[in-house]
Amino acid sequence: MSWLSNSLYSIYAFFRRDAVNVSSYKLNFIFSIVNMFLWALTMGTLGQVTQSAQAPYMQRYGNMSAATFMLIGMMCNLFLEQSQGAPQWIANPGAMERILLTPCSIPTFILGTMSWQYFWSSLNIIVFIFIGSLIFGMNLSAIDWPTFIIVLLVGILAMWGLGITAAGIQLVTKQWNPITWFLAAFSWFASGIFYSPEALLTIDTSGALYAIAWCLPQTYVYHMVRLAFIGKTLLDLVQPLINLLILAAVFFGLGWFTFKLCLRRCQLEGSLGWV
Amino acid sequence: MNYPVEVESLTKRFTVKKPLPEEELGILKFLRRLLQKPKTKETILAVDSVSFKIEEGELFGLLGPNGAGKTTLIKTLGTLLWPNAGTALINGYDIRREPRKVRAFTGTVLDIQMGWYGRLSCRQNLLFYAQLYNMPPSKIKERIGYVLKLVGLMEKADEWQQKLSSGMKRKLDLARALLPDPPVLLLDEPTLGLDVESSRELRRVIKHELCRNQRKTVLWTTHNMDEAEQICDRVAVMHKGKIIALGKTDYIKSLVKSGEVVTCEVKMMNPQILASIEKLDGVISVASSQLNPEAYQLKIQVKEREVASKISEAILKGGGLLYTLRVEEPSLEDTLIKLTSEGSK
Repeated sequence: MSWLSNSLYSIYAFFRRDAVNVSSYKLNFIFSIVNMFLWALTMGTLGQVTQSAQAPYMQRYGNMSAATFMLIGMMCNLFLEQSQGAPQWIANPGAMERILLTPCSIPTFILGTMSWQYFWSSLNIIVFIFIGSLIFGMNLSAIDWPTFIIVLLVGILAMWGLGITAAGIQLVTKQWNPITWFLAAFSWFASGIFYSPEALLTIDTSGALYAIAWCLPQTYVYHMVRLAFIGKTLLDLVQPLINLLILAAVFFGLGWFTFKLCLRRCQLEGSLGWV
Repeated sequence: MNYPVEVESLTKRFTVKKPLPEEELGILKFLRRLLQKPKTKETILAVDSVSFKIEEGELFGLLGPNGAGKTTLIKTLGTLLWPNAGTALINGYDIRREPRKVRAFTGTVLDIQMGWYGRLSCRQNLLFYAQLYNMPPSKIKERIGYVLKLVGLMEKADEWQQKLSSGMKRKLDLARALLPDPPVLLLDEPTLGLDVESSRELRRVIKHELCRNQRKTVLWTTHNMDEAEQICDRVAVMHKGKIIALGKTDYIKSLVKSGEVVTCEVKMMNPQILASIEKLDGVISVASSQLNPEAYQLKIQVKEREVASKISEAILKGGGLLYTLRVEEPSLEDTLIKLTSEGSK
């Protein structure tokens, strides 16, 4: 178990480093907290304004309010986008070369780098749920928490895969990966953060966009978390969960393989420290 | 004999894309890049089958001009680069098979200062790295205090790293390398950017405190020949990836049969004096430089020190005033220049 305690200790080191660093920008830190509340209020208000337009798509989610729908979409998105984007921070050439001189393993390095961001996203979720239940009538009594947490964790694993792939490519090309940017942008458009993917059928009657949307892990996560909010359990969500697990296994496996390959190439080329 | 560093036929090659010729810059270069994959690649042998061993407590210098392969060798030993052939054992661990153990027993200072967090204090930065080395929490505070004191940064311990001068940042680099109390130190130009006094103090700390008292094994790369001559127990001269000479500094100097150097300061200098010195038997070369409007310095390379008396006679006969004359052995710098220029040939 010593490797586990060592890894947790190292992850704590990263968390502490980022906490000290972020809180040193005092004004920025305070306004980030204020921003959490503003975001939650914005999403809830946007949901209320679009309630009538969204109503036809809310039937499959137990006729939940559009405000709740959007707040859930946004808070899940915080976790998923961070999971996709954060691994690329490790490709920061100077920091990476320096960390690789310590006995810290690559998975610990990646988890450690993301730990503060996850903590921050968790705070965001608490604020979203608080504002949602206090102002926009979000019903917390029906939530199946195990389903909510498990779906979110599998989704995070899938997004890590994409993020680690991007980080690997970034290590070699030294460029911000446009694929990640595209996937994030497409996800905002199609995976159901603000509106149900069915709404895509109103602009594309062929159903191609709708079909592509269901190839994204985010779409499954938003869909299942919303269902968890109306009390559905994992047993009710077997098929979408299997689909998400397959996507997570493929993306994560591919990501890890790509990252290791790219890291080895950099170590052979000597380009690890290049900017 | 205990050898904490054993390097065996270590080879590191890089494949680099050749830059396009000048005439192909601009739109042509852009089109070529767009339409076809560049085919012009060349392989650079940065470290060429290098072998050496360093004893416990030894301060081993790695000398060589820019591009000789010193930093590549340090990075390969520090497991940042993957060798193409050969291997090395650091404290008994193979850099290929057990890189994490190698890192746990090695403190490395690289030539470029990176991996610092500007808005964390020196102490907080070191705490972060101490935790990555999995140092027990009970010992961290004491160890950080010790390394900061050793490198002379105790007074700056609670200042933001970004407020330090470049020399202080260099010292902090060394403090970080010393944190886990590693038996082996890989130092890539550790005195770069330090003022004379700090540089001397750091050399003293590394030589006496770390090597002599704590028996740490140090591999030190430098361009500074005086530095190497003063503190290194042995040196290796690297050139184009190869070690072209290895041994104690006296031995390295003896490898080049460059005779001795007569240095003299002359007033009322004239061209006839130079011409007559050049004609003397045993004189290899003469170089003159003006010290001030009245005086010149002559550096005369001679085959043997007896030629010095003939030189003083020639100066006096030519109407010059001889102020000082001294005969010196060639410095390590002279030797290095000679060795690397012979290596190039």
